[in-house]
Amino acid sequence: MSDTTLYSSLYQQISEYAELVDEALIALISQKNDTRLFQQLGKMLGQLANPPEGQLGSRMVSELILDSDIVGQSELEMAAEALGTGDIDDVTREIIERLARSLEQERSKAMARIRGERR
Amino acid sequence: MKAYFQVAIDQHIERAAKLLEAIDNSDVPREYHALATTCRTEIVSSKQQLEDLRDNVEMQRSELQTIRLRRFRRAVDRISKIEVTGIAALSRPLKDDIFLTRLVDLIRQEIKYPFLPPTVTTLSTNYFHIHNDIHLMFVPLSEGNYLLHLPDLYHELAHPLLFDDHNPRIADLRQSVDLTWAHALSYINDEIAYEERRRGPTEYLLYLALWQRSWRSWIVEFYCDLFAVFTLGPAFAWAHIHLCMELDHNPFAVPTRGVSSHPADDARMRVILLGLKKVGFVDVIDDLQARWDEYLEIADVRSHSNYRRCFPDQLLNQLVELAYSGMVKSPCRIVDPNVADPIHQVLNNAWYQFWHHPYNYIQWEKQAVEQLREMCGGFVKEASR
Repeated sequence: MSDTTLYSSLYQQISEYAELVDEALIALISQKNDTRLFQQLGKMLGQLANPPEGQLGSRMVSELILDSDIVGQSELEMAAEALGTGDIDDVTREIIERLARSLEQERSKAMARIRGERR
Repeated sequence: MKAYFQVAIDQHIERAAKLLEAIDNSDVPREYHALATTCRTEIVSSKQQLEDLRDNVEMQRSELQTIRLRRFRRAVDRISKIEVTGIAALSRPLKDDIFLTRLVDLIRQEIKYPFLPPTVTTLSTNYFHIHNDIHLMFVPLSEGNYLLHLPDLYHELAHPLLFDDHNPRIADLRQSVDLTWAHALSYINDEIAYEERRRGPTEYLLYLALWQRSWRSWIVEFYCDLFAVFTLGPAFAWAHIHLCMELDHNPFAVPTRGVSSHPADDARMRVILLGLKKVGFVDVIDDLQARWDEYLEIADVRSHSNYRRCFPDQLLNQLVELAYSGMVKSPCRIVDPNVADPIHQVLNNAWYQFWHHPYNYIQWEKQAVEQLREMCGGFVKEASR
């Protein structure tokens, strides 16, 4: 009868995604070409756009992000491809920045639900 | 905000160090060792993140301050969460916590639960719940002195199974969850298409959108209920009725304004009864249904068309079939009327005693709890009741 269980399961996954997105954003802003990091982020964005079967947590986080309408599925797919090929332009960076905001918003909401606050 | 970050980060680093002192305590009973290790790892990691935010020259750049703030908040929230959950439990090891942790371990062995058991703490202010990230289950303070709500331990044990992406032994259960989700989405999409065709009231489209978003969490709760039914049996159904009697919830509630995390209690009861039938407890279903109907009557509540539309029989039937097929392919022991494992017997017998010997129940329960504590190791025997 508590939201805590559900949101504590999602909280960790959202935080891990958020950390990876911010790490990549720092590299992009600092103009560092960290291929491994960008490919890792590209893979994660691909999973957010199309969560793999049998991964309930990934699927729920994906739905939360897509429901919030800050970043769309096709945008995530486009950014995932750009990160995978290394062809990262300002549009890709702007999508990643919006995703960072969306993840932070969902992380904060999840924490509020864990604490029993309603938002 | 340079000065703010300087002082605030230093203070949180000091706070993390103090929490590590509390964790690194040689008096911590062995039942808490796994929890202490997890908490330590989490606090050390958050402390290192804060040190990086303070010491890394790159993070002082003005164009990185928004990211710095997000990272600061994440590290602070993580420390705070661990402090009020894991470390709070570690700092007050109680006999009841150790008893319940051992009890959950015995349950784990009985039902062949494929993961390590969580630690249990009696710090809950909000019924039973589990923090998956640190494997810590919360139950109310005095719950270890009674039996009637303990079947909910089984429900909570299911949550970590559903959110695990790695254990191949429960791959079929995860696949069942996926299929159930697909069925639920397909059903709601059909209803949305129907509403769009008939151009009915726009409220219905809004409701359907909310139900679609709610069903993803409802599947989790239904599966956890069914896990408890398939491993424990009728005691979980009785515990559901018991909880509903105690709480003032509308058993036919459907979301019309915001997303809901838990399905309607009546829908849960329907799923529980279907699950019991599936594992051979046909004899008790009429009795449970009769008690449930009595509850609905005295609570003076009735179902409505939205409720039936939100939780149609066909979808609930599919859900039970899929959950059962996933469970039988998992390593868990599925219950049947002949199972005689000790904890299973105590929890189911409690409800038999409750209904058949109501005047002696309180006394019987005291003795049964004493025996349960003996099974979990003599020193957790509690004489405070």
